[in-house]
Amino acid sequence: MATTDKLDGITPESRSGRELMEGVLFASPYLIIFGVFLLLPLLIGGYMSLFDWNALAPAESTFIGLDNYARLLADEQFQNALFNTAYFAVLTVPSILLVGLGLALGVNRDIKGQGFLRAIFFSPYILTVSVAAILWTDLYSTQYGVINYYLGMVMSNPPQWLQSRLFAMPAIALTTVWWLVGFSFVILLSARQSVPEYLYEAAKLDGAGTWRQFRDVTVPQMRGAIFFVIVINLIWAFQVYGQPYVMTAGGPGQATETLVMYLYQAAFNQRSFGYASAIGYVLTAILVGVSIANYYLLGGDNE
Amino acid sequence: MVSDTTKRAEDDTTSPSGASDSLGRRRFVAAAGAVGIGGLGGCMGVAGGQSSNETVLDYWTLFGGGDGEIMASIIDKFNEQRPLGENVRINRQRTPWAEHYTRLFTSMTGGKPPDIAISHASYLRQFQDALVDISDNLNSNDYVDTILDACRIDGGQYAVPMDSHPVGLYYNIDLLREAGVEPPIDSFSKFQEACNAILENTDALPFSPDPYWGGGGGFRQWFMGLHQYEGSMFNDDHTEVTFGGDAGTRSLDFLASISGERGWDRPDISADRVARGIRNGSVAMTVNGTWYVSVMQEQNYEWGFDKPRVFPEAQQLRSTADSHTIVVPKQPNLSDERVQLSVDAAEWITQENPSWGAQAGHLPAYSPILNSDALRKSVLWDKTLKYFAEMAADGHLAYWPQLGNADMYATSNWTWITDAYAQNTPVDAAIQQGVEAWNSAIQ
Repeated sequence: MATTDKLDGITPESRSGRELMEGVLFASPYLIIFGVFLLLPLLIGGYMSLFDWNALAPAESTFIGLDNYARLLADEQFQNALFNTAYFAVLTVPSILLVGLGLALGVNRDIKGQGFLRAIFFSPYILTVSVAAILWTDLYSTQYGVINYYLGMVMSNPPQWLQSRLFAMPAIALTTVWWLVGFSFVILLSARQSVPEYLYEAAKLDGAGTWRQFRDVTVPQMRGAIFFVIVINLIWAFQVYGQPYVMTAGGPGQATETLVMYLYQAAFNQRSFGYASAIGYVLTAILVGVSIANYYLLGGDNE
Repeated sequence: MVSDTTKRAEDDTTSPSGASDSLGRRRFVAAAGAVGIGGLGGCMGVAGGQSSNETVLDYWTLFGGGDGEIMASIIDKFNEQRPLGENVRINRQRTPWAEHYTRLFTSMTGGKPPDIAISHASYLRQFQDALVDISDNLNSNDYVDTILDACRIDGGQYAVPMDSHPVGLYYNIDLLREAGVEPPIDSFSKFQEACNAILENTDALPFSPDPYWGGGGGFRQWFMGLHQYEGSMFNDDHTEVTFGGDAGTRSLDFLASISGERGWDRPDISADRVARGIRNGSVAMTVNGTWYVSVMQEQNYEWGFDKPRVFPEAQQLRSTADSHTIVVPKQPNLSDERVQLSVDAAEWITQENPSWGAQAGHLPAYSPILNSDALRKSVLWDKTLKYFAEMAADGHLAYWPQLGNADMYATSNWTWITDAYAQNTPVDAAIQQGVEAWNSAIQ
């Protein structure tokens, strides 16, 4: 190689520089898109959050320091939206993990129609949020919904799912679990299929039953995938917008108004873009914090 | 560009290795670039949509359904008649109601708004900074004073008024007669008698205050009750919420009683329940705006209309109203000639088309049309428009306030009303939630 390099007039140093340059060039499309569409808006958003921002005349915006963040602390509507979002995350993330894991372990067994079941369980995930939400709005309908049709056979007053403060958020959460579980199912199935069989054989030789095998072999071996599923679903849960927007518009009252809905409302209904940016930054901080906590609690020692 | 690329390609053929592969890749990249640039050029050409000597005015509307068809026919007429010259055409684009203002706002912030656009009068103060003051461009002031005034902010004229669209009581006369009641419904006692008779003598539900509970009609009707009880939503400069007292509570208390103790409707705010009920004859009466005539005209039963005397012991008759107007958004490098052309087009739309009243059902803002035979001899005049015109003339219209930083139509600002109607929340608690929501909104 050295001879060839010398023949070409290329020293190891210049080759290294050239490889670096090639690497940067290959990465540049992504870096440009990341910079223009993610990093730059993120920085501008942080800048806007320090102003009483006038979107129609940005030059007339007033610098107010951290006032937008101070206002958030006293804003009951923000606190309500934060609570609703956390409630939604509590309802959906464990459910998606448990259902996804159950489906993955079930499909992994040596059963007929494995491919068909994989396709069936994954198929809701390919729908858009509006299609999934409209479909379930119809299912929940008090007028012609299938759910209340059958419930009406066994009870006199079936719940008004999307109009009840008690049931509206669980109803949205159920829709979300049905819609998104397919993605987690595929990730978990893939992880389960990569667990070496000899580990189970060794566990059996040591007298481990089904539960012990699951607890001491399956879960530790799938830890990375479980961590990923939890983190990605937490991020999605804290960013939830489409399902409550289509199904309840944040109601009844403000029982299903989420953080991103409130952010949108602050920006486009109240034209408070600075305040909306502050909400966005708080949301980002929450997601980063939750992801770091998850990393140390679940995935810290995972290679 | 071409010669440079060609030269680089020729140079590449002298490379010691991989010359042909490299040349192929580069030719591919160059070709792709050329196709891309060509495509962009094509897109720009389509977006412009005009020949070199044709002036196209982009016009964004939000009308769907019956009045959407009428507006489409008005613009078709403009493009056939070419009243502003053979080379002036209007390109109408319709956006869904729910997206219209966000789209308009973002187009304004991005510097690429349409030449003219529909805006409710209640939005004008929010958009004021991004609208052209057309005081010097308006050729005629012969509009209904109250509607024209709604287009003036801080001494400037920011829109050409098109109509007023108050709300009223629509009913199924066949169902009334089945219940033993004869129209008109010209007092609350008659309205109450009708509701109770329908409840007792038919299978239908007597009344729901809103055919589309997801669309904010309930809010519109609560606002009407608030004003019928002589209340107001805000103080004069819109810095303080004022509906938390007796008037606001009485209005909501009555609405909640409709789905509660009165039993005239179910506490069910499913978006399309009442709309379906009105269509299939299982709901007898509802309150809605001028535009609802297009729905009622499609029904196969006899229908009637009256002023909305639907609140008990109301101190005065009031109907919630707003106006469609046409605005001219500011644009970079917008010439005076273009502004004048836009205003001329807006005036033609509002002044030369009685069909906006006679067929779409709105109360025209242009006085010569409002007083024209074309309107007053139309079928809709006797059916609905004369009642709306009387309310306007008698000062019975309660216009939406023009807020500078909050959206009257935003869903999150009125879900406390639907919450009370669904019997989820007691009236007093719902009013309190409303006060908090609006205090937050107008901050």
